[in-house]
Amino acid sequence: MSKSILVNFICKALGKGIGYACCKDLVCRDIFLMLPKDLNISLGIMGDGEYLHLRKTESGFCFGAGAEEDLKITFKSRKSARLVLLGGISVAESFARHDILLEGNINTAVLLVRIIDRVEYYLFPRLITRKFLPRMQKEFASLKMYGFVLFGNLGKVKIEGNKKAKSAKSRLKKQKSSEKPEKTDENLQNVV
Amino acid sequence: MNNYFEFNNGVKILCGDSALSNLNYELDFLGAKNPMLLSDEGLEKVGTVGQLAKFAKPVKFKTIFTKIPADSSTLTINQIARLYINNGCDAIVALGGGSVIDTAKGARLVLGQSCDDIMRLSGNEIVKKGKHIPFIVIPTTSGTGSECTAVAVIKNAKTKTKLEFISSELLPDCAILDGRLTLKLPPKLTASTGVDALVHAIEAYTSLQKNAISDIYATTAIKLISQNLVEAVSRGDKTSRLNMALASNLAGTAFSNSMVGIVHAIGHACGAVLNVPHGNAMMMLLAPCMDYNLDECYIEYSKLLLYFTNEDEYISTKPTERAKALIVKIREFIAQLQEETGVLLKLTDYGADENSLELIADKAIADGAAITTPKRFTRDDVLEILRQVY
Repeated sequence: MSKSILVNFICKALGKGIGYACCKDLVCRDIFLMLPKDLNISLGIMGDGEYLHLRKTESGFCFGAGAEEDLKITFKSRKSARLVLLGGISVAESFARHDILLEGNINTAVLLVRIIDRVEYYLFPRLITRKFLPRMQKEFASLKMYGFVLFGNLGKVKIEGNKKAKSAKSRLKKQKSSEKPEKTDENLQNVV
Repeated sequence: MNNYFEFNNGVKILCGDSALSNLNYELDFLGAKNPMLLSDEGLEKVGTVGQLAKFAKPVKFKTIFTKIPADSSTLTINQIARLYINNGCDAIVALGGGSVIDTAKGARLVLGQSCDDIMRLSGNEIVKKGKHIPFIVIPTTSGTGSECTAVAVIKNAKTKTKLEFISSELLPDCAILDGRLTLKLPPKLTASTGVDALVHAIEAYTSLQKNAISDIYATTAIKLISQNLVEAVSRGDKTSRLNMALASNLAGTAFSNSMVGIVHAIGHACGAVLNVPHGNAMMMLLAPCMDYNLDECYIEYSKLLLYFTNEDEYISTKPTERAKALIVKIREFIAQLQEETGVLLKLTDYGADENSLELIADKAIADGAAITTPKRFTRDDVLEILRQVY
């Protein structure tokens, strides 16, 4: 089976987005620093092979495969990949639907999911993310992310300093979901 | 409810008085003639291993291995796999709590996959169908539900880190729930493991992966726990013990298919940083985490009031107050268990300081249970919850 051009494009965009967010977004940077040293990640689809290879370096993520993947994420089908990559559902929901196979340390995968959630929050309009992501506070305009994803070079964006950003922790607090769930007292009367 | 779900529970369950007397038949059915028994030294000392031999006559074990430590690792698993092959065993029987069962699952995985390094199999649903190794589990605690879960946690002996394995290949062929084996469980352990089962059921009912079938298991488990746990702790009679064993099994099946959430994510981290026993961490964290989840799980908690209490109480509580009423009832339930057993429910009892809270928060946000939890949490959310039980 030949690879899907659309999925290929989106995976590359996601890879760039992850790399950019880990350098420019303090929350992602904190999580990036928690990831294992020299981490090799691959993202693929069963039957198609791998679409994305990311490698953690001291200065951020870069494209390219290492000797062996530490974390191999495989979607069971193109349909399940598209559902996540086009903003139909979150990565967590995809995991809950058993659409994702994961080889490696699950804790590392959870941290990566936290980064991907933020990248999706920058990349997709709120109209799309509203149904699967809580409200977050953006640290820069989404346009910057779009610009980088379309024209940027992942090798050129670097993390400045490797100290944990203290301020990010307090920002995290503000990013708690401020969206009230749709489960209100009124519709509860109808359900319960 | 999800528009797509999967549910897997291929474990045959033998539950009730004298269930162990059918072990011989089950081994024969699975084609096993030289079974290997895995247990731990504690159970050997209190006579549970001897009890099994007595109750399961005429089963004869080719090899008995009881050197499984509380925090078992790949070293033990490799040792067991070598013994199994060298002694010509053809089935595994695990007798014990979570650690023994997870170790047995690991050994079975290594043998079934003919693999020399179990760490290569770490992850989610990556293990393919392997050689069938007959595997029977006999739990001696009523909490982990590990006898029917497709999950195992195994420590990497080299890196000292714990890795999670999720695969249907971890499910045993058969689980035997015989109340007689839990009669010696002390009240403290009965209470904390029972609350662990309660948390499995509540989290299974509210997690992202919940589905129509897991809901049935979860709600039945909650009903059984609310009706039997206090009795099992205070009197420890056979009926309440057996009901708790069944509840633990049902809750385990529920969470194996719908996963757990924030209580487990923080609880695992408390265990890793401060060695807080898992059940105690569950007792400590359940109510504060339910408070945290309240806005997201409002409807689910409201419905659970019916199963945790009874029809009269449910009907007499205003629909808009049911969710909060459930949390109040849970707090009272745990307070009662604490009063009976004296379980320590403050983090400072385990030597916590501000620094350890930060470490727990770091670990909790990376825990596998953080993926399927209904309300996403941040590091600061975890710290806020921890301060409530500090």
